[in-house]
Amino acid sequence: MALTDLVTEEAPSPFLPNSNIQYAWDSTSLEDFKRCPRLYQYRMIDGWVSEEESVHLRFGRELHQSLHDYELSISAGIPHDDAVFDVVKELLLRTDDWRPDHKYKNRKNLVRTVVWYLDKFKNDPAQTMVKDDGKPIVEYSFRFELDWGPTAGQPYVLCGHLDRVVNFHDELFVMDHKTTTTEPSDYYWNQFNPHNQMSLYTLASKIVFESNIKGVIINAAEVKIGFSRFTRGTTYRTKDQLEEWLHDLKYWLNLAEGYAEAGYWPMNDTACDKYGGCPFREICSKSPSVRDKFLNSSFVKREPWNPLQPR
Amino acid sequence: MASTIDRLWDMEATELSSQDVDEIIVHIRKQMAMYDAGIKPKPEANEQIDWTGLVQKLSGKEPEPEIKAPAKKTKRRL
Repeated sequence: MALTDLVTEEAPSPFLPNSNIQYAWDSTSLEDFKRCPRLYQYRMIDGWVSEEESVHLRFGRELHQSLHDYELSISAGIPHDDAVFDVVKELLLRTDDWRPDHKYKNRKNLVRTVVWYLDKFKNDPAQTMVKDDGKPIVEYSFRFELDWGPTAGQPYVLCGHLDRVVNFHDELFVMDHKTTTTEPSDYYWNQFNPHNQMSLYTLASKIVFESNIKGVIINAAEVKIGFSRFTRGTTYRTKDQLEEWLHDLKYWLNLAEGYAEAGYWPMNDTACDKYGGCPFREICSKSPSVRDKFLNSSFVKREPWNPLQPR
Repeated sequence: MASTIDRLWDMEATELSSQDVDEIIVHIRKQMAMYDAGIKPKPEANEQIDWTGLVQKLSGKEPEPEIKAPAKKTKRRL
């Protein structure tokens, strides 16, 4: 495996030229494919997205951006209250055009969640790791090549963004921010092992930082009508588990190549009710001949997700 | 009548002064202090109340499903 240069002005396509064979994969696209090839087709190949999904995506993106901005301010020596002020001001400006009437994921609750989080973790026991140039390791984009690929000249690339790398009680972890509208229970925490994203992030951080990262701390922000609550949980990965994940990946990517070559992504009808219900369940429940009409009325088409897009 | 804080939320972000932003932060921190003190926050004016959840909580019963009238069949003309 080799590290490749991260910084590019314009993101290249994650697909081989003139084909639907994806060579650059992140946890989002891989998770969609593993869940259901049809879901992967709708999102990654066709670029369909629902209104509901876009609210969740925007809420998550703005929360990530705010926590990132705060870390940068603190590392530059700006005091907590001033950093919070700057973060809130910027957040209000960025979201001025975004006023969804979602019960939980709305603008007010977003700003509240950011302020409550920053105040709660003002003296965070998990310390952000710092790069050689003095910058904190937050929203860190990684990309590395595997030693096999869809063609002889193009190896597979695994990529993504690590929210934060921290030292917690003298052990290194990746920290990943999640938002939820339900109280995190055992069921919630158990979902992270096995878990595609957490295995990839542990593997990636081990390779990128050449360090003995133990796993991922999940930082769950529960967003309710009158309050926001925060809980953290840890998921560990052993070397053997990561090797197994990588070994399995070979089979998954071979399968993806096969579907792309056939131009057909079959439906996994055992996954429709999982993960809170697939957003495309309504579409897949319709007769194939009328699905396009329903897609056009309930979803919007945008540029498909690009794992190589830097943040 | 809308409160000062509601008016601030409704304003365009470019019109907010530093004092306005401070006021929003103070309001949010007050909410947090109340929550930490165990005082349940009042729902904001434009936030919906989860009636289904509330009925369930108070009665301990699942809410009865909404019964929809069957769609009328239209007669086909011969």
